[in-house]
Amino acid sequence: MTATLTTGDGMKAMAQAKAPGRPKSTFIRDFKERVIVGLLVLCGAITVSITVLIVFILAQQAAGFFGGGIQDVQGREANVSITDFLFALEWNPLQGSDKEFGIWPLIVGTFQVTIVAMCIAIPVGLMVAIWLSEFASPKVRSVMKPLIEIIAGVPTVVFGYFALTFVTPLLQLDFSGLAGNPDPNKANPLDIQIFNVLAAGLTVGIMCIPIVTSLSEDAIRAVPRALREGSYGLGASRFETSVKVVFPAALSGIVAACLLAFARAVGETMIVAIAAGLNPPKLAEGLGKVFSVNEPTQTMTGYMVSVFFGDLATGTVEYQSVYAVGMTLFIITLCITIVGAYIRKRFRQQYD
Amino acid sequence: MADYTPTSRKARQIKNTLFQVVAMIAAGLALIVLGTLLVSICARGFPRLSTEFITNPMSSDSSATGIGPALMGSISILAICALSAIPLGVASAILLEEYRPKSKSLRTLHGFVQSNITNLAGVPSIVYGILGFSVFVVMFSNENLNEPWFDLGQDFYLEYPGAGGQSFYVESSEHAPLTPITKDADLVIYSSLAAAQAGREPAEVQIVEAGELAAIRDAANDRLKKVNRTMKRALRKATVDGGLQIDEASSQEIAADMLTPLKDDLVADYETMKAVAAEQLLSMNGLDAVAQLQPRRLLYDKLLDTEFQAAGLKGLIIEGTEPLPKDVKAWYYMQIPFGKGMLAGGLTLMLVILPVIIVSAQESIRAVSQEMRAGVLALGGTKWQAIEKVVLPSAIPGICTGAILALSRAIGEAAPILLIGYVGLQAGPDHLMAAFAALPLEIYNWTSEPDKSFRDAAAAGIIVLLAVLFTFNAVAVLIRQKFQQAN
Repeated sequence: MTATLTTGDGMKAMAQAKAPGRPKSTFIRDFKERVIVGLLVLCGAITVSITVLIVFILAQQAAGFFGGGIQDVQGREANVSITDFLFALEWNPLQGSDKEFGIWPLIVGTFQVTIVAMCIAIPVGLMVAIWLSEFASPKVRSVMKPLIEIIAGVPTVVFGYFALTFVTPLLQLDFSGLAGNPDPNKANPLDIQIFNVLAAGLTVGIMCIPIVTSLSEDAIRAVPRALREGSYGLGASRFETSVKVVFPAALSGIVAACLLAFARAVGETMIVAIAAGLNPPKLAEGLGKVFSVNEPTQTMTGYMVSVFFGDLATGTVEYQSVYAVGMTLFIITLCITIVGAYIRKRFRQQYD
Repeated sequence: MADYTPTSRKARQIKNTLFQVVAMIAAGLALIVLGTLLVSICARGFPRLSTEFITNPMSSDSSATGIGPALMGSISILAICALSAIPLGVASAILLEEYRPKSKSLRTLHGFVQSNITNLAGVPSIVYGILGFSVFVVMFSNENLNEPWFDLGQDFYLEYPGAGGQSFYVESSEHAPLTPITKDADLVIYSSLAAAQAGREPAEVQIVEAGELAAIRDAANDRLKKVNRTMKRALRKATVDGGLQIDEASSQEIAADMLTPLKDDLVADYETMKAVAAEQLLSMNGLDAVAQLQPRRLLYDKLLDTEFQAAGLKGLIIEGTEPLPKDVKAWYYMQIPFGKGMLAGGLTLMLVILPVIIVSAQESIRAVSQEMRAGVLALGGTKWQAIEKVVLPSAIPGICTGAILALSRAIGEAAPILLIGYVGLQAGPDHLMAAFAALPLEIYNWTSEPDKSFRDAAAAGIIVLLAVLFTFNAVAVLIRQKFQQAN
């Protein structure tokens, strides 16, 4: 579409470009060409160096965290071994004298929120995508799609505010709390606490809907018409065509879209920092805590925010733990993104 | 495939309709949530929104707090982000799209760079915050932010507090010793920082001993004590039913009454004193002046101030006053490492949106038809000429739209600048390395404040943030539409 649109402008530009009266020296021209290519390569190198630097800095600082020889806030020697970090079930870095650095509570906290979010984002996002591309008229589609995409443009700190001041009172069935004056004697049948997994997860899910919708819609629209027409020709209804023909054909793109939304939910920061609280699930007290969505939790990103926004001295073991957590977060999201890219590439149906 | 099982036509039709209804409800639900979000925030924020809110600095009083410095900070870092991200992103996109290598090893590298950029788009923004902090703020050093390795554009002054409350400035150098001022010191003293910077004529300053000053002060005080007595009488005369009734003529009269007994003792000009008194009286019209001590005190202080000024107390520095170091940074002030400032913040946001800008620029460049490039090459043009004269002009609208949408994401980001920005600043940034506050950070701070009354201010801040975002998006839509009409 854009190609045909751009043609006219390009022609104009060509006509405007003055024809040179005398050919310029090819030496200067070639030299200029090389300088420009050099500059472009430099810019490209900067973008590559971003990834390299992320890995380098996280690894270097995390090595400092595990390497020992650093002190905690109270000035005592602190040694955290990498096995403790990876296998211990307790995370208690900031309070008390007995500090525990086992990453699992934070990982579980992250996935609590993410899974609640995906329970919203994937069904709603996919249904909307199928409806927009297979059922809705072009007019409805041209209105609905930009409206859905507005959701993607809302800053996450705004969603966080919404989760804390609206979704949580709503879940508590505290209707005066919606207007800003919480009622302490509300019914609250689900025993929802002020900071809880559910409100944060639902809001993250809403934030992820447009990601699922627009990427899966692209995948669905890439399925050739002939497949649909074949299906209609055999007497299938729109619903049957969508679910049994179009959906499987676009599956690789849809899975990739869902994985991207998943990665976004794992890395989502401000919503969970505001609405999810500061207490990762206490796994050591029993694995049942994993399912208590009415209670506060803390995600990896939430922990990083709480340290960054606090006033811990840099160089202490508490502060350095942020880099180990950041490294874990980076590896998890990178794996999800790479798997998504692989699925899209490997299982893409070619119809040409 | 499963075996064919015939189902009734009716059941299939119902299924079809049912799905459509459920999907429509799902889409409607998403939009209803969006609408609820906007309505609930507007309902709480609008009463709080005012010009004072937009210009006021942050305050610990939730009803007086504002977003002035945060708005300035957000705009400044966004400008830095745009100026760095757009050229870098477009250049990278050109490299990736137009200079596709032919050799096999380079092709692998090209593919790696491309997938690297796609993967960067999935990196959580808080990780970019860590990156920006290490690369720009401390530049891999151990974090001693007070001692930059290199700086430029900074002037050093010493500030001497004067006896009359005014400050005086003396040019100085870095690490100058803070020696107390002596009577025979050979200093060029300026009356304000601006005068010192411009090197205008120095102020006439007298350095006095503490005892001398006290004598002058006591004399002035004694003289004005007389005013206090006459003032009471004069004010009572002007009182109607306990409140002051003063117009311009009567204020002159009362001031004259008050000051006449002092006419010969005054150091300051009698007429000046009278004008000050009259003005002060007018401004306290309506107050219960006789019963309340406060307005009288005000008037007295004002007169004392005038009297001091006339006695030359304003140009006095007491001997032995210790100076305060005062560093003045020019707008181009530069230090390496950058430290927690605007430049580091803007560049960190650049890292966040760079992948987005590259991908959207690539798409617009790819959309330019191959024949147009071939045309330039056939006319004997070079590859760069084809890009400069044909590809870029055609791709510019797409690049602009993508860049504006990326910038509208950048202005709402809080996570990457958590480590670099500040909250609760009193003024916007005034040079490139200045500490900055940002709107999303301030909103986060207010939302997580234990005092819930700050949430209304947060809602009002969100309205301003959303208004900026909608403006950005509207501009993007306008560019796209204008461009589509042109063809």
